[in-house]
Amino acid sequence: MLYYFTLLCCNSKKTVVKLYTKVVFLLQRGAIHISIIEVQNLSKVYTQSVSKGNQKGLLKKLMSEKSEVHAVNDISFSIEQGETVGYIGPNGAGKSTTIKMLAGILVPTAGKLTVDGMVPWKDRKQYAEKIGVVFGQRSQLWWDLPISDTYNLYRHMYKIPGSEFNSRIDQLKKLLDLSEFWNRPVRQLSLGQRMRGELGAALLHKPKLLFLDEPTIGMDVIVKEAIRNFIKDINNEYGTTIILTTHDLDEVERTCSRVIVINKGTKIYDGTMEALKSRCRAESVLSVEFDSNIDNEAFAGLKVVEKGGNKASFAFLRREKGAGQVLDKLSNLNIRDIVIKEPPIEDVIREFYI
Amino acid sequence: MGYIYYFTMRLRTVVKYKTDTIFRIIRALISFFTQIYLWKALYGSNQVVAGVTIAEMMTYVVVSRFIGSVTSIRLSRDIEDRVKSGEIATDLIRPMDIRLLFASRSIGDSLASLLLDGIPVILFCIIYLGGIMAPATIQHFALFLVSTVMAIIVNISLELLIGTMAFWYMNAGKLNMFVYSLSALFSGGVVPLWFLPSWLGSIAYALPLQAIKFIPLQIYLGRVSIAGSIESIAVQAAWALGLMLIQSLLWSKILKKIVLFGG
Repeated sequence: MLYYFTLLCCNSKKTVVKLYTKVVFLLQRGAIHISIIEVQNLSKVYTQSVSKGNQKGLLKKLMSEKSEVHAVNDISFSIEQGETVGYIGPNGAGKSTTIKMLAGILVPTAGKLTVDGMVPWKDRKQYAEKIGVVFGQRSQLWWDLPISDTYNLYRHMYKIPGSEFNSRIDQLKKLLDLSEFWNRPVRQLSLGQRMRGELGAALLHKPKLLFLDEPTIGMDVIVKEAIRNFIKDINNEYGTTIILTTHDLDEVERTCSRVIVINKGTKIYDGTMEALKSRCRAESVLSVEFDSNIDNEAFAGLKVVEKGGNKASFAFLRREKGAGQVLDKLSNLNIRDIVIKEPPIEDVIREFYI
Repeated sequence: MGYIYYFTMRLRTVVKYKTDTIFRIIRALISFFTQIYLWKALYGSNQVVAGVTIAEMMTYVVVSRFIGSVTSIRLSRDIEDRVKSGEIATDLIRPMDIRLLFASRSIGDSLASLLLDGIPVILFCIIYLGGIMAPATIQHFALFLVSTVMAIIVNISLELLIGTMAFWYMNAGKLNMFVYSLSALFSGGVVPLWFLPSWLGSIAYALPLQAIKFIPLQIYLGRVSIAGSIESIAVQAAWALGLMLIQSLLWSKILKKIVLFGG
């Protein structure tokens, strides 16, 4: 094989160049898929000691029984370069455990996990250069110092050349609006500002992969929206592969092209958001604000969830194109504003099996 | 470079708060005076007790404060806190050796406490007590400096070992307290080991704690010969290596079953 290839190279340079350009062309068109993350039958089992009786201290430790918690159970998927994937499930589903294994800071109990040709936990140090991680619940910024200091620290840690670092900082300052709090200690920042700082810190070294573990937890709508837009921008501009965990369906819908749903450590869905909705029996809610107060009779035949003054909310099923039906029935009323809210992930999962 | 920047950041965080800094200096001076006057009271009108002159004792206290300051780190507690809060995850995602990272953190702490605890005491004693005894010889002084560096290394190794235990034994804080209380007696930092009854003394000599404080002190005062000093430094090196070895063995086991907290 290799012999013929060498022969080919020597004799017909033209063919080789053609072949090469073809491959590059196909790659650009997205006709050839390169998976960057390969996960096969991945499992993580925690052993916990459960004490029995009421002995104390060492005795308790010795008398206790080991019990196993299957945080992640036989999960497989592969993710292509440049994809944005929402990894979604209720609390305790195993989202963070998976992210930590992907980030190389947790060793799987069983199964195979390769990211960009590396085994994350084995090659932790080299692998770290390729990834950026944001944990929504804990900070990688130095609490007492401004973010400019933390960024400088990471510049040295990731050995980013000075000129490259400066241009990167300029970009991030613009994209994330960091200038307004650039020189203020992190402890004085608002939650939204801090999260912008965290995102910048995770992206300084231009990672190929970005893992976001509940990035918008506890934030208000405006900040959430800004962060979601930023995530999309990063993906479009740099082709960064992004994996985002959340329990918010809206978030996934707005930022991700693909969604993986897990529950109790097991994967129960993997595909597009549209397909998930069409299979889902949980009800979404359409909230409508009218110009004036409306009588109840006008809502005949609709499932009213809430009503008060000039506002009303209706439940509907996505899979039955319910939003259109609701609006049809309201068509002769003057509508000022509408908002659609997706069902909570717990409902989606509960309804999923039926 | 990353490691060096890390320790300067640590240093800056420690000295950042002005009020904290002032209180820390005052605290250091008060406990220094307590020690000085305690020994003066114990000596009374005697000039020599158990072969130790009062001038030697005063020097002992001051030099001990100096070594105490550069070996006063809170690495094991830091590691435990970071493991418990899950913040350790943000250290592990860096392209850095985590143990070297912890070590540079400690060196930042050492320099900060030299600045805030050590130097004020030395300055004050030069002004107020009219200085201390000079080292026995210039060679002793050079060896004293080497020995102090070794003491810092032994101390970091010990703290790293205790901190490592936080990964599987969640209550490393208790172990820490236990080591600190042992250290008060057996390191020679408060009471010189010469004053201990011989059975307690032999326990002290068998522990790594005396390698952190007593060995450099003895060298400074010229209580051991040049050859003896070199031997003592070798003992320190052996302790540093031994502790690092145990830590490495534990570490390789822990990395496989590492559990990170907080969901």
